[in-house]
Amino acid sequence: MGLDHWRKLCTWWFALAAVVVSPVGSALAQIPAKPLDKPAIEAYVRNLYALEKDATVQVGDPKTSSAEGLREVTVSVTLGDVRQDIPLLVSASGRIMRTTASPDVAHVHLLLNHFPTIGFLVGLGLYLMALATKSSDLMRASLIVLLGIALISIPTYVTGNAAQEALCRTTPDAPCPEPGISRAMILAHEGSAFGAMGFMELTGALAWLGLWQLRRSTRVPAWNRIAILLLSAVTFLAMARVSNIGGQIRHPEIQTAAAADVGPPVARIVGMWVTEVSWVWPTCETLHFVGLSLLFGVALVVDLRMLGTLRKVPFAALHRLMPWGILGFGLNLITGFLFFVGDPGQYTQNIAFQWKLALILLAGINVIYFTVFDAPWALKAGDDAPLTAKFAAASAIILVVGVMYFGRMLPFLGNAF
Amino acid sequence: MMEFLKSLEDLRFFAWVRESGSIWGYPSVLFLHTVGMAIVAGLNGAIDLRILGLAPQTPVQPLERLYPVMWWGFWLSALSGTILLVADASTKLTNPDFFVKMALIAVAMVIAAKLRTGVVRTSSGSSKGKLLAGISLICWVGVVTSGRLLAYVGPVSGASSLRHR
Repeated sequence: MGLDHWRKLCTWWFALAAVVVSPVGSALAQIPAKPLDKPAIEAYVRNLYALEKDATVQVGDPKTSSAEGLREVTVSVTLGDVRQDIPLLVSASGRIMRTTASPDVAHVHLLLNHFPTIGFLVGLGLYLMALATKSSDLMRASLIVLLGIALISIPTYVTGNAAQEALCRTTPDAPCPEPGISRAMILAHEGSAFGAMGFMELTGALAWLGLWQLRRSTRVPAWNRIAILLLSAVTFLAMARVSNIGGQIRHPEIQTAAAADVGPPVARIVGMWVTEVSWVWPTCETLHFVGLSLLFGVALVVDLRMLGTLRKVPFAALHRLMPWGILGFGLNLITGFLFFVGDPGQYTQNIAFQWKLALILLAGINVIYFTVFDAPWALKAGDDAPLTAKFAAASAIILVVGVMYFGRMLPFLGNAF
Repeated sequence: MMEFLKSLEDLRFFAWVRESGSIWGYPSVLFLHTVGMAIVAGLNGAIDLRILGLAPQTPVQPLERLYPVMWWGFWLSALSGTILLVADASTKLTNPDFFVKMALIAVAMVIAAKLRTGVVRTSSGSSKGKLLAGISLICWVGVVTSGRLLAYVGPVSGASSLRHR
């Protein structure tokens, strides 16, 4: 029998084996459920809600829940005349996980945090290769990756605060309800992330500038190439430190002696400055409006050119206006960050804020299109823009107005203020 | 005077805007005001920056086509602003910051008209044009600032229990 025949036989055999083994395997991998540890659940609830001593807690019997692998346990808390039934979910191994089966925001954070760490390393590696080979294609690709990672780092940071709130819901002075979670480590992680974000966003800004410069000449100027190299090295080291501290939030067994002295909670300190010094918040709001006007003004000029209003202007000339629009965006990113650390809780649970962030990330695609792509760049005076450029322009206007809408609606649709 | 202003506030439509809590009331009017602001301040700002020498390969004369768009933004802000004003007539019209804002808008719009006919239409590169463009930029930043500060300085209407507005 020929090699080809054997190859097909093996492929079919392995495919069949995979189909048979996986359900069998996953059934075998089911962890046998431990009997419910009711005293542990009672202690958990007492800590979680900071119950008074004379509150009585009755832990119900487990029922199968709609969430796979989790059992539903209803805990009745009675204090005087008032009784409240609290639904908990308990895993097969006895771990009390959450009171709802909704997507665990801590897991979203654990998903996203791979981007500013490993994703950034990939971007940095590509960038080093681009420097070594002097390839402008590689340079463009690496800068787009670095810019994209800088943008994804924003929801990564935001979900970090959301995870913090989900895990340590009680007052700031009480320990976290689940044993083994270190509040000190969470604050240290947040503080280090705050500093690292500064470097990350600066790297992203220079990466965008590099893309803009690459459009206009054959190479990124030397000063920017060096700046991006240095900044990305610092960013990577900062992010490595952030993830090192983050790993120790739930794993005290990897805690090193030096980590016991974790330093001041930087993000909280800046947050207090933002909210407590009276002129800071209104000043940030004013700068936020100036930034959005600058951003929208430049965006409108570029988009209206694509849509036909300013047909006599060559796009290459308007390309020069783009850094001012990005400056407006940068102003809003900085002031937005200050708002966020000032009072994260009014944003993380706020549906308007989540939409705002999503639309900002989408608008990043439009920015990359107008900065880098050939179709808009080739537009001379009098040319009618191609359909893709018109779509990019129209969608950009809709996205920016959408961002303004959700921003303005933060206190009305959501729970801000 | 105050009774007259308060009676304006109590008119059905303006009382609804201010107090209904509906998203179509105060929040929507404020949102339209923000969009109008972004258009009128943003486009004027972009034109001012070009006159001051930014993006020098951009021909100036075609930018005149931006003015109709800018006027749409102006009237959007003016209309929504009037609704916001009448809904809070007794606090706004006794607030000096509000009059600062109106004065800056008047100056900025007069300069915008002058720049349109004298600089943009003729592509003149005169230094007087640059001076006017610089003053216009400062005025618009002043408009945005004084507008934002209306929530913080002077007599502030109803929602003063909100820490940040």
